[in-house]
Amino acid sequence: VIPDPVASSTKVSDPDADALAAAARGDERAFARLVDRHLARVHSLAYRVLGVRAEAEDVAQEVLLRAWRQLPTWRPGEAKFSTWLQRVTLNLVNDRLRGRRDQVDVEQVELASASPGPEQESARLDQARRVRAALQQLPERQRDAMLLCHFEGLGNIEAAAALQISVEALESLLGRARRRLRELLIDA
Amino acid sequence: MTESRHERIVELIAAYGADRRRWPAAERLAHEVDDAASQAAAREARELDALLDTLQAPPPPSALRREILLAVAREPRHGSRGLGDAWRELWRELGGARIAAPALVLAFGVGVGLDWAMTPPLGAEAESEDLLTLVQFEETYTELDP
Repeated sequence: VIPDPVASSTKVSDPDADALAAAARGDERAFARLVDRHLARVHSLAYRVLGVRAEAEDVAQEVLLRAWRQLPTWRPGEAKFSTWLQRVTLNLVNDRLRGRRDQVDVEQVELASASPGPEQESARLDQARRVRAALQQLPERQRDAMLLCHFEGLGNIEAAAALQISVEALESLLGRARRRLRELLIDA
Repeated sequence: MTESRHERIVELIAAYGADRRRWPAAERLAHEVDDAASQAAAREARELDALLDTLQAPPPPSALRREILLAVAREPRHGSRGLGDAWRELWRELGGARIAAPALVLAFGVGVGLDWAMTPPLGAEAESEDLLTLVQFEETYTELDP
């Protein structure tokens, strides 16, 4: 049954509520509207860490198919659909990173990021690769917090709900993550 | 500025960075970064923010949307579904046209074959009556023979 109860017991209002109800009854057009609203965000969340287009696309597809399969058991008001998607995306991304740990995938990541272009763009891509590598070195919870808050622009309450932690715990994770990233990217 | 407010600004910068748009909405306008320590923290945070912001994501390819919706159309739905859906799902579980259909044809063929083998041919009933009569006749005959 999705979603799992979030820390707060108050009912959450969800802008996707109508489309969710229709999609839960099997309305594929309503589900297409949900895909249109959320696909880019799910994909970017996966791509930023994984750095391989094909893998990010696999993750995005898997997340949305899981949503479709589980929609009949969706309990409105417990969490926002977007929050649930972010949580599932982070879980799948972390699974893939754990799976990679033993096999060096750097070449594949670099191929996906590298594209011919002006020198400035090449420098930016190089920085981006360093940032991605640093993110991959963070502990999972710190990385998840950074991804949601810094890269996806979620508010602290929404990000805390997605990670099922308090706002104070979220701020602690973010502070530690930024300190570590600074060590890896600037102080090193 | 009070000490606690100063501490809070440093905490906010440490957690969310220098860009106030990433700060909690309720605190964006409540604090001014106007002392030397906060400004130094903000400068450092801006440096890291700039590096982090180089990590951008391309938009998903349009084919991905199409693939997801095609996969959804093929997906069995669990939960609220009719008898038709249940039959379709059972059909898929049995292997669909690739496995279930040949199996059904084979089963039908075997069934028809068995039925044919067990059913006496036309006129067989009369023939068996004739044989019975013959046996009775032969028995009667052997009794009378001596």
